[in-house]
Amino acid sequence: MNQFRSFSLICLRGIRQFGFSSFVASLTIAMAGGLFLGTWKIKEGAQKAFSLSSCGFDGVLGARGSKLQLILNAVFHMEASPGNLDWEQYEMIKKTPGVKEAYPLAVGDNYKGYRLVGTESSLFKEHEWKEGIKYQVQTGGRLFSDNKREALVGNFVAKKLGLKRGDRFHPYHGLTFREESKHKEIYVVVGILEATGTPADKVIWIPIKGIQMMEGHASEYASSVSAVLVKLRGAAGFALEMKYNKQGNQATFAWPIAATLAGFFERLVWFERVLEWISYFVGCVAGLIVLAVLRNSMNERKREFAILRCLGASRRFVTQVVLGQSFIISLAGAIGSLLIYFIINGIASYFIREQTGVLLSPFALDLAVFNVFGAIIFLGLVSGLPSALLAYRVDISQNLRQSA
Amino acid sequence: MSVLNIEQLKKSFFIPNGEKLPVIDVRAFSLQEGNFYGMHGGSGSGKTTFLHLIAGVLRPDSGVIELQGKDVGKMSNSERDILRATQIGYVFQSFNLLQGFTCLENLEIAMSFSGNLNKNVAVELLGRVGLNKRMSYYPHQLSIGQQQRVALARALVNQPKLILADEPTGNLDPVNAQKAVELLCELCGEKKITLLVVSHDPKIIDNFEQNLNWEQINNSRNTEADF
Repeated sequence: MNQFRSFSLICLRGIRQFGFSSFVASLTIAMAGGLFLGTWKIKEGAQKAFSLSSCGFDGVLGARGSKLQLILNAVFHMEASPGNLDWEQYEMIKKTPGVKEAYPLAVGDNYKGYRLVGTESSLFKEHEWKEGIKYQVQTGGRLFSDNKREALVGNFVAKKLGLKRGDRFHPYHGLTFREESKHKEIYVVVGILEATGTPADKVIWIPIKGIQMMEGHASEYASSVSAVLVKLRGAAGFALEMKYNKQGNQATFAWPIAATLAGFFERLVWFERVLEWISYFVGCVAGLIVLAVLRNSMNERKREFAILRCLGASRRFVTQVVLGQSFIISLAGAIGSLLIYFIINGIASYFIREQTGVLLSPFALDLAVFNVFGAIIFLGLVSGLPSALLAYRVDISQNLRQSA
Repeated sequence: MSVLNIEQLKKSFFIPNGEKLPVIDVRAFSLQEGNFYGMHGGSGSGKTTFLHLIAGVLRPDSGVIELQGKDVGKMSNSERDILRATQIGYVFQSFNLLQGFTCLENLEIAMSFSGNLNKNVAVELLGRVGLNKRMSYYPHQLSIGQQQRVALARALVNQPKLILADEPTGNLDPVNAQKAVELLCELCGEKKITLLVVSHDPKIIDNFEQNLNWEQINNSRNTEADF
C-alpha cells in the first residue's frame, strides 16, 4: 500500500462511515444537475428538432390569422386550422415566380385520434423533406393514387395503430376521435412511410380530394384547402410576405418557418428561467448538504486526522483526504445527474414524439453536458474546502489528548 | 551514543485569562541509543506535553531538541512529518488505533507514510505480537489487550530510532500491563530501538533499569492537569 492507496482507502472508508449522509448529498447533487441539464437540453433539443422538422419547407400559406398557428397546423399537425383558402389561392402561389414547390393540404378528419391529411401524391414523389432525401415507402407498399380512397400511413401511426398494407378503415370527422362521427367511406392502406423523425410520421396521408369530398363535409370544402406548403427559390420570401401580409387581407404567408418557431420558443423563456433558477437553488442546497456532511464528519474525524498526523501524515495529505471525499460525493452526484438527465430527457422525448412526431435525441452528449459535469464536481470540491481547511489546521496535540 | 539530546527546553501555554503559563522547563535531558527508560511522574505534570515536543507535534518556545543530531524545533512542518513517520514510534494510553481499518491496514497506513511499505513486515510483526489470526479484524472486534498489541506493532513497524510510550498500560489490568511492557521491551531489544515509557504507575517504571523522575527533570511547577 503506497501513500496513494492509503489515501484512497481512507477516503472510501470515510464515505462508508458516513454512508447515508454521503448518499443523500450525492442524490441532491444528482437531482440539481439532472434538473438543470434536463431543463436546458430539452429546450435546446426541442428548439433544434422543431427547426429541423419543417420538412424542407420555407413557408406556409393559409387563412388570415396567426403565423405560428398556421405552421403548427400545417407542418406539425397540431392545433386547429385557422380556416380555409380557395383552391385558386393554391393555384396562384404555385405559379408565382420564385416558388419552387407548392403542395395543398386539407385537414378535418382523423382515424383513432391521428390526423388524416389530404394532399397530392407529388409531395412524396418530388419533395425533399431533408436536403437530398425524399420520402420512402416501405418495401411492398406504394403511394396513394390521387383519385382513389387510398392511404399512406406515417411510420409512427402505423406502429401505434398496428396498421399494415391492405388494412381498411373508416375516417372519423373532426380532429379528435369520437366513435359517433364515423364517415361512410372506407380507405385502404397502400403503403407505410419509412420513419423520418418528423411530424410526417404521425399522420395518415390521403388524396386531397378525399378530404374535400368526404361525406358530410360542407360543399365549399370541395374547392378549398386548409393550407399550402411552400418551398421557395432564391429570395422570393420577402416579396410574398409583402404581397400576402402587408398588402393583402385574404391570406397569411407564414415565413420563414424557423424564425417564427424561434419566436415561439422565446415566449417560453420565462418558464425556462424559472426552471433554471429552481435548479440553481437545488444546486446551492446540494452544495450546502455536502458542506454539512463533511463538516459534521469532521467533528468526529478530528481524532482520526490527529492520529494520522501523529503517524506522519502531512497536512496536505489530510486536506486531500477531505477534498477526495467531496470529489467522490460530487462525482457520484455528477454521474447521477447524467442518469437523471437521461431519464428526464427520455420521458420528455417520448411525450414530444407522441404529441408532435418530432424526434429528439434523448441521450445526446455534447461538450456543454461535460462542462456541466465538470462544474458539478467543481461545486462539490468548493463545498468541501471549509472542512478541508479544518483538517489542515487540526491540532494534533489537543485531539490526541481528548481521545486519551 | 545519544539518540536524543535536550537543552534548555521551555514550553508555555496561554490560559483563559490571557496569562502565559510555563509548563515545561527542562535544562538537560538525553537518551542513549538502544537503552530503555522508564519515566515516572504524576498525572497532569506535563509528561505528555514533553513527549509531544520530542515527537514534533508541538513546537517549543525555546531550547534545543536534537533527535539523531537534528534539531526538531527548527524543522519545517514537512520535515517533522517525515520525522514522525520514520524516526519515532508513538504508543498511546488509549491506543489510538484507526477504528475504520483492520489491524493490518493500521500498520500498512503507518508504513505508507514512511515510504517503506512492506506488507510482509507488517504481517510478520502482527504475528510476533500474537495476532496472526486477527489481522483482518477491526479494532472494536479485539480485546483491550489485543488492541494494545496492535498499537505496539504499529509503533514498531517503521523500525524507528525511538519509541515514545505515553502511559501505554493505563487501560490494561496489571497482568496484561506487565505482559505489554515485557513485549515492548522484547521487541525494542530485538530491533535495538531506544524506548522511553512514561507512566504515573511506579510498578511499571520499576521494570526499567534506567529509572527517571519527571519531577526532577522538569523545573516548571505550573502543571496541574490543564494540559
